Amino acid sequence: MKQNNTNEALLARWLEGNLTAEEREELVRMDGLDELAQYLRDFEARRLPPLDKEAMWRAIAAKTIEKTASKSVTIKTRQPRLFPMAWRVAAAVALLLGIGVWLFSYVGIERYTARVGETRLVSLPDGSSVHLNAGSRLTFSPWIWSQRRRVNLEGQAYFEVQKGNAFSVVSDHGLVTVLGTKFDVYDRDNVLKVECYEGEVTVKSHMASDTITAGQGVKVSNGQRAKLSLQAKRPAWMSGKLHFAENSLREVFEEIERQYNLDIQTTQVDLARRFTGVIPKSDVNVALGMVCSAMKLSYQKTDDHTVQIRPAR
Amino acid sequence: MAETKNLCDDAAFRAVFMRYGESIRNFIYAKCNDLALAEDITQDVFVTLWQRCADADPETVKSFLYKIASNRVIDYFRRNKVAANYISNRKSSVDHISPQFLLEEQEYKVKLDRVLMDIPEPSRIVFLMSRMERLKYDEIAERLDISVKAVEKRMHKALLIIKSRIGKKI
Repeated sequence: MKQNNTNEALLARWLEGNLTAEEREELVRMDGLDELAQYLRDFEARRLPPLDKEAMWRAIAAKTIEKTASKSVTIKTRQPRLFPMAWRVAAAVALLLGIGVWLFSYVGIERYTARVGETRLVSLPDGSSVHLNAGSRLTFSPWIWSQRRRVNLEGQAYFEVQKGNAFSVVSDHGLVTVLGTKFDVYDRDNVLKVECYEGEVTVKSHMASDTITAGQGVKVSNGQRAKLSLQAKRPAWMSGKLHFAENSLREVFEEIERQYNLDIQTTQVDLARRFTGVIPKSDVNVALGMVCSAMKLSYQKTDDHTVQIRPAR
Repeated sequence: MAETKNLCDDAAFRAVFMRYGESIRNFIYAKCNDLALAEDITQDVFVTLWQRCADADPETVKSFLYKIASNRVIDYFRRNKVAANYISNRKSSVDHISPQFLLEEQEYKVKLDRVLMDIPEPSRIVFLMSRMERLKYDEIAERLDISVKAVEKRMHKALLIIKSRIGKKI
């Protein structure tokens, strides 16, 4: 039998499922593959706890950006930093043109934030609209809108886009591009979810790309993608109720925190458990009551904005 | 996806952190098996990136980060004279992992770890990036700055060792 190089990568390709007939033959004769497959499945369960990015970011910003800005609190992106190097480079290039382009991209940025407990409607220069859900932020450059329609999104928003140039939404985990359509983008922690309500949407994430049409959605979480079938004509969060379908308790409580401007503290609660249900956005006692009774938990408000949740006795 | 912005920009730097922070932490964890340490070193890595932001290119920042991370871990072990022993470091990591994580059966976990210990580091790292982070081979190749072929060979080696070790029922 000839000794070709693919032998040294055989198991790697077995895992991917990308085999030639020859390789498949060789694998049939190999033993221990079932045990190996079982080991790999067991290994799946050993994921690390998710990284608390905001907390780590605060620590990093304190040692980097804020040191140079000499002001505490949040990061400023409106005013560009004036490094000596940048000035030298800008001066070297044709002054007028150089400064003009630089101003264009940095100074002319608009930012809209929907704080916790509120939603916000933003109108874009071409008439497209964006509904921001609580705890979300949208930024874009209105000055160059006619050439490039692109927004940065943190959190969740529902878009109604006018026909025109390619419209793109950049978020932490994905890039969504459309030509003219209605869709919802959710990107928080490690979960990216895009739902298309009209037209066609292309979602790029983790070096892969999906195109979905009206009534479809895609959810990318920890590298796994799932196709979704949408039941309604508009996202649930815009209807005055919060809909959950097999969401983890962590996600549920975080959404409740955002909608009602609360700080929820849990003790001995398994936040990975799944909850399915519809709860109101306007009555915190009913909302908490419904989740807690379904999951055999009890809640207690310790002050106006803090809630303690623990297993029910 | 991102326009070629200078990484010395606050928003660009934050975006890079949001995108790669967790992967870098997981990569470092795979090397030192201590979650708190991995998170500390992750912070250092990004602080270093900020200090060298003028050298960094948004196109290649991913592999740049992995290189910084590798070096930082080596520095740490050198300074602390602690061998990168996968099992002896486990005690320190247990305190920092959530109760959920600890709920897994301890014995079986030790068995899985022992098998991993037999895999030489280059192959083990590729294995963990593939199985824990679900990265594809071309993605791993890009981050570690090696060829896809090299990734496949290392992965094959790791799987071969695991297969032979579990066959012996240890």
